[in-house]
Amino acid sequence: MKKQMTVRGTLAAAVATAGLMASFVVPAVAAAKSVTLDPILANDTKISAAATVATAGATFDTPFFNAAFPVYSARNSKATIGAYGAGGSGAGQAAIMQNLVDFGASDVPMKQSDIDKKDYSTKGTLADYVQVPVALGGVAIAFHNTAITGNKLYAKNHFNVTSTILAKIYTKAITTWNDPAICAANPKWVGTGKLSKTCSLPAVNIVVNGRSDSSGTTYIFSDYLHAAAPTIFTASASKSSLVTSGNGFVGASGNQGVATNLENTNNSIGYVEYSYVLLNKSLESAFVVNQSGAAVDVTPASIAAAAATKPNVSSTDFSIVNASGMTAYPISGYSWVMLRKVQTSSLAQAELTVKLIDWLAHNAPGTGVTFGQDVAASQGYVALPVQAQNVTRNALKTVTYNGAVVLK
Amino acid sequence: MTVQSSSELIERSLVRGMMPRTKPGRSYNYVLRGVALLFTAVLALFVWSVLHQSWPAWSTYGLHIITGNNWAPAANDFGALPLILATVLTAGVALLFAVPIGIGTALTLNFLVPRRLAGPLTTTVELLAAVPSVVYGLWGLNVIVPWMSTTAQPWLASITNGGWPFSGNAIGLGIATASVVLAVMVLPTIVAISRDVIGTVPRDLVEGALSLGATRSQVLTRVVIPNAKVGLLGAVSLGAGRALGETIAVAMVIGSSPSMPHSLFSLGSTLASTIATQYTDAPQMHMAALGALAVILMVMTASVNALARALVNRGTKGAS
Repeated sequence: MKKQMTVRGTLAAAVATAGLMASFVVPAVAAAKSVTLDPILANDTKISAAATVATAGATFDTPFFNAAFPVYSARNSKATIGAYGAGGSGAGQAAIMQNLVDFGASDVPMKQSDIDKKDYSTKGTLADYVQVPVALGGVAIAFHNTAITGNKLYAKNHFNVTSTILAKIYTKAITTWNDPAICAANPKWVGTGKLSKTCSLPAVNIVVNGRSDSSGTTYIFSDYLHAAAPTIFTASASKSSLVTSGNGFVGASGNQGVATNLENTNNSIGYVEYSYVLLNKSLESAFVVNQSGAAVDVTPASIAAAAATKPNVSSTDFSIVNASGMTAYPISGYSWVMLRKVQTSSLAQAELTVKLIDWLAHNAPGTGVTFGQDVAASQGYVALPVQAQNVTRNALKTVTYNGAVVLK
Repeated sequence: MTVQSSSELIERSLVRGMMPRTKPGRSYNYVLRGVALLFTAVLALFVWSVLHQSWPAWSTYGLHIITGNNWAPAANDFGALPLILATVLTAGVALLFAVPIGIGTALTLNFLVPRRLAGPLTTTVELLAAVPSVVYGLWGLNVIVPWMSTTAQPWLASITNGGWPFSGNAIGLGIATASVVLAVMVLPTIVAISRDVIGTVPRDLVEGALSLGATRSQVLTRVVIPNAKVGLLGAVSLGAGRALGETIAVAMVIGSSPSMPHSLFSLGSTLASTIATQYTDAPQMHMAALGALAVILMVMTASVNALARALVNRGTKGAS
């Protein structure tokens, strides 16, 4: 994990520079390679007039968008992209319903019931929106326990959790780090002598962290707990906070809020989007035992393996948690953006909105041109599978301005 | 000092304005009344809209919102007692520190520090009062929280041997840390206003008492403070208002957990911090419950003000 991080840092810088340079060398590169860009991708950074877009939503996407927007702007001189308003999935949905942004981002696709809950005059119905996947990521089980990470056993043996352990921690059935269930999941931490079968995990209370705001990350996490341990975690998937009066968990706003609390608090455990583990260097992520019984670290490869088990996602059938397969990381999920099906501000603005999303959701291996998913990969996300890229493309082709399709 | 000079200025300008003393124009009169009316109307509309927004919650849950001890939006249970207690507790502990230190600083600035130093010091304090609260929040999160968990909380816990009020998990975040941050935040407000108020105590009184042989501490406790009492109460009630309503800085360090505070190390969530962290995606009933929290907070700050006013009235009656 630690080594990857520095590599990732340089990669990010390299991608950013590549993006800047690519704006000058695109024709040369395209001519040199045998693989050519599909015509829509080639036009993604061309719009008819200057335009500005505003965006807001899930903090799951913040590292991705913050890195990708400048790369896009550098290649499209007519585009101005406002700073991403990272207020959470709920805020992203509320913002697009109120027409405050050109697209909103959410870890969970919007449902008709989400729209029914609000009383904005501009909210319309679900049919007025197009929802497409733009990012694929995992929810890391991040922990801070110096007694574990400082132990020489940790260098060789990671720290494992299972769905049962997590479900019990988040329902207060497990409250200490050396609970028998945790020891059982970490056999190498238990003495092997005939007499000393003691568990060397620390006998201290677990400080449980969660989100205090409405959160798509909480949705993916609770979706996983309910799917993998339905008898223990009985509540179904929800964006609502898991921190309540009864359980005394530590709450924080946003992924970074949880990450900061974890960094500040020894003996704590929590869940954050994978890229936040990379951004916050002192955080360690636990290996999660998946449905097939394998302890899997959260990595781009293991998240991609989970996504591969369900290639055709849609805004109504999107859950990829608790995926089976020896290499699949079980707490994975897509992040979505929502935009209006009928664009009304101006042609250039509609073009920029649709083309930016198309650019964000694609990569073009072999062409040497940087696309959104290349930037995402440099930030600890996983490039969308080709099927998911096609889902996005086909949905974007239904967006119209003045009765005409915008993306063509 | 500044109060006196500004009131002098106002007086002088009034005298100048009165010179040609003609009947005020009718339109001028209407404009003034209109502005006053507009302000009252905006205020009334504001109170009405908050009440209106919270009405579904009151009509469904009634007083359970105030007395219920479980705040669990996901389960549609909206009992705000833990939030109310955390709000009162953090503001109370903050004032416990901020009031004596604040008034002490104001007295020092007025009577003990040489004039050459008092000027720059006063400006610094007034600048601190203008620092946005999120800055205090960041400072709290990155400096105070680690310091509390590694140094202050273990020390406090050792005093009571882990007993009340320093019991529980000492993880840095929580009521105690929020109180410390709040104390630092309200301190400049209290110092700035107290200093102005103490400055208005007539010098003759102070010099008279000194010439009668009173010691310096007697002058401060028997002459200065009684004379400035009304204004000092005002300073404290402004500080209390800020502490009760502070949102972002508290949300960052209190642990955002709506649990019942059992000790000063408990995690908590105040009325204001709960509204701020949960409003973004609240369904209708949850939104109404957040509106109810706003109503409770308004009533609380208004009663602090009313209490201060009552104390002031009693104080002035007793004096006359």
